[in-house]
Amino acid sequence: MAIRARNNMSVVGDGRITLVLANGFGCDQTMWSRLSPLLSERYRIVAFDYVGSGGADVSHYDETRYASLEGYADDLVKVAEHAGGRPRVLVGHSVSAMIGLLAQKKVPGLFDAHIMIGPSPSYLNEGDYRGGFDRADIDELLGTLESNYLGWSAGMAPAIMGAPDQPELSEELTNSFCRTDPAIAARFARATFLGNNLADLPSLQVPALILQSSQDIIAPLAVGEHVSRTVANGTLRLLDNIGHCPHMSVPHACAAEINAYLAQTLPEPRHPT
Amino acid sequence: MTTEPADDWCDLAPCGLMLTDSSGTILRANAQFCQSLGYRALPQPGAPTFQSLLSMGGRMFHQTHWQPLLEMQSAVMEVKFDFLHAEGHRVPMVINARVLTLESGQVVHSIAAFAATDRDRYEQALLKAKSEAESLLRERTDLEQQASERSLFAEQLIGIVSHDMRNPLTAIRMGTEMLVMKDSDPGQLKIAERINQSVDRALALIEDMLDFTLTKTGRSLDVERVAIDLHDVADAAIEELRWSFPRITLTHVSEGDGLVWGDSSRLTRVIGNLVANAYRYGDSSHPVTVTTRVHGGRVRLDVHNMGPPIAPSLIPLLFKAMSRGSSSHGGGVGLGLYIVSQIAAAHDGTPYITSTAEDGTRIGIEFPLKPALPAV
Repeated sequence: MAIRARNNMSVVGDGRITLVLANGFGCDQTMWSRLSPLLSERYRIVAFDYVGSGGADVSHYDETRYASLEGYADDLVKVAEHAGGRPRVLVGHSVSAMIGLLAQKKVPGLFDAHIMIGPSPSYLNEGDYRGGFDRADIDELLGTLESNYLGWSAGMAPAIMGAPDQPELSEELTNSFCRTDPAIAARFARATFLGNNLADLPSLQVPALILQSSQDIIAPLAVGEHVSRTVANGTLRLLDNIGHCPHMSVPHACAAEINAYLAQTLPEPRHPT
Repeated sequence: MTTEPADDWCDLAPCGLMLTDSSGTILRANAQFCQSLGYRALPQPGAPTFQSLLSMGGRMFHQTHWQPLLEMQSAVMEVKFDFLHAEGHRVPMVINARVLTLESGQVVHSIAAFAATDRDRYEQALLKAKSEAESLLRERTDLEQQASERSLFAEQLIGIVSHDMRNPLTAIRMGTEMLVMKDSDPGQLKIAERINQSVDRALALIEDMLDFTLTKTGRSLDVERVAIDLHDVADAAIEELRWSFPRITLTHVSEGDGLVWGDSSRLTRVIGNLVANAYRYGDSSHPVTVTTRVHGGRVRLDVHNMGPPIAPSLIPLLFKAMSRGSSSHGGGVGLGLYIVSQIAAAHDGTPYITSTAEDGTRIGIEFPLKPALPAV
């Protein structure tokens, strides 16, 4: 199968280290367009879309396969292997940090390090664990998705005003959201927000950087702390940011953290003289 | 509340208007916005940000969709959110928003909110109807699937039973022959002959059923087209059929050179099925004629009999499986003509039929002398 076309893979930049950028729920790879240019001078950047979003080939969508994060993890394995490059690092936003965790479990050594932006191993409050949400909240989200994707389904483009200074960007994003089938979005939302990967965290043995926003209702600080403590080799870095998408709102701060972490974790090998 | 004229003007607007900073902190909200959510003024200590006014699900959508869209495109239109009224209930509103940079350099979000209670109710009804329609469709698809599985099972069962019946029937036939091997009693021989004829008919029926199963499960009949003399094939078939149908007079008319490319055992089946049909439905006081005609690159093989004509309304159904010309005659399950049409198709040909009271009934197949060359 042509993974490149199926997952709409794109490659920019050049460098010793390959970064695979995996976006979170609700978005496609366009969401990297602010961070990616800051990283591409130093690294080789591979981005992609999950099947059912953005420019990925929706004909490969399978209800059963994508009913849980496992199906997405299988795809990430294929994408990473196709991306090649060593060392190879995953930059996963939100649910993609967990998809990366599952992918690494399937294929140990798939990535040499993980950079998790706003990860959450479980969104639900269960027992002592505070994911931040109750089941009713998730149902509410599904309702909101349903009433908003309706207007965004095929043929009826959302009346999104263009960005006057970046018309091509507006076109790209408008299309990317238009193309998401509401049923696919709802299934991905269920897989994302009802999934529980708490038990999988300790399996991550390679170094992991957790980039945590100071204020993020989707992935609160306590959750980020839990992730960094529970993976084998975690580092927590706090970003002064309100919201769930620091790679969009504070891309320079994100890039600086990533550069510093990778320089330390995957240093250039010293050649014997 | 300030008393600047601009604010007064905003307060007159029949929609909610709000300014927030780029993280959602409310800077100003007009009277309509506050009123729709039951507040005297906004922001309030319990409602400091735009997102704090949303339901929890709405906040998730805000974080995962609305905010990224707004950041990337500087504007988002027509997104429906459930807002939380100060008294706790939900207020659906449609939101338009755009990003503005003030002269001071501050980036703010300008937000307009439109009451959407009726629209929301209508949309909920639509969604409910859609989900009901989908569940009906699922139910129907399931039923169709079950029906098709049952039908496939029935066809496979016919195949299995037919196949397994061959062996006992063959044993009966051999046993009968052994019983009368040294017997010269004409009465015993007559009985043995009848048994064998019945067994032969049962075996022919089994062949039909096996072929029926084969074609109904999506495969085509195996046909090996080699050079044969069709006239000779027909003669041999007729000779055998005279034993099975001693009460009818069988004649053979042949026209043209008999060299054709065909499957002799399949074409023998065609003659057998058509003669059995003529015997069953025709007037047995008249001869039954088998015609083999090769002319102009086409081959016609048919069987003619006199007798009551077939009703025109039945003719289109005759080559379909399990349909029968008349129920007043016994024998057969209506597979014979179906098999004939399948054999015709396997020879790149078609079946044909004519039936009138004056000229009797003629049923047969027509096919090209040679198979078409495979496309390169």
